[in-house]
Amino acid sequence: MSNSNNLLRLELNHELKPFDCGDTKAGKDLTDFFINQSKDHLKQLLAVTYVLESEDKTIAYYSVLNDKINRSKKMNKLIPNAKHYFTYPAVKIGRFGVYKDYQGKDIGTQLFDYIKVLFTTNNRTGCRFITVDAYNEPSVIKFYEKNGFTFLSLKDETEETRLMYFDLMSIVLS
Amino acid sequence: MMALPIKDTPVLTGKDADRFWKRAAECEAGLHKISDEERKKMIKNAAEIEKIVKFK
Repeated sequence: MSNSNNLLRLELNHELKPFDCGDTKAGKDLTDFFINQSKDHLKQLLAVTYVLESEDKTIAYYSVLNDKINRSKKMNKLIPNAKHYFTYPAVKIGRFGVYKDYQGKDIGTQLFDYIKVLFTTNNRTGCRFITVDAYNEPSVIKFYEKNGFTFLSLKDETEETRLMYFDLMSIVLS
Repeated sequence: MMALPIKDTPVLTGKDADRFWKRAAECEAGLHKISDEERKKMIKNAAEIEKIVKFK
């Protein structure tokens, strides 16, 4: 990672640098979100966007928001769980995009590793899981699986996006 | 085109809830922990990014 790059928290007055996530449906959607909606989400306190940029381009961005995973109160008592929580705190990566010229260069994995370490070592509130709203495209799903994410539900198999999660305990216990 | 809204995380029910709960319990028992090599790589990657962070 070049030292001339910066990872910034998006502010309303920040001038967005060019970003193009590619011509797939997911790519166009991610580009549109960054250019047209990331500041609105910030203004409405819905999601905060972090931007990795070089001198002339946006290399990648991700938008995060608070989340939780709720389990139904009807549970299978055969599965052991000492604490019996029904709600677990989580952080959701609502959008995560990498500029098309930088895709496949492990920048996404580097950013995810940073997020995982940040939320296990330097978080101000409890957070057990990272959730993502992933585009239901093979390359996207493969990327998240490579980064340790699993499907939250099998009911969204045919939808445009799929919810996946990463259990931060897998890092803490190592 | 208008970007899709960020999807809500639904309440897990039935087999989804069972699968989630089972995996969470396994994780608490250390069954899904990452290897030392993966951990080392993760910390190295995080440190690389940390160098270029420009926010508190």
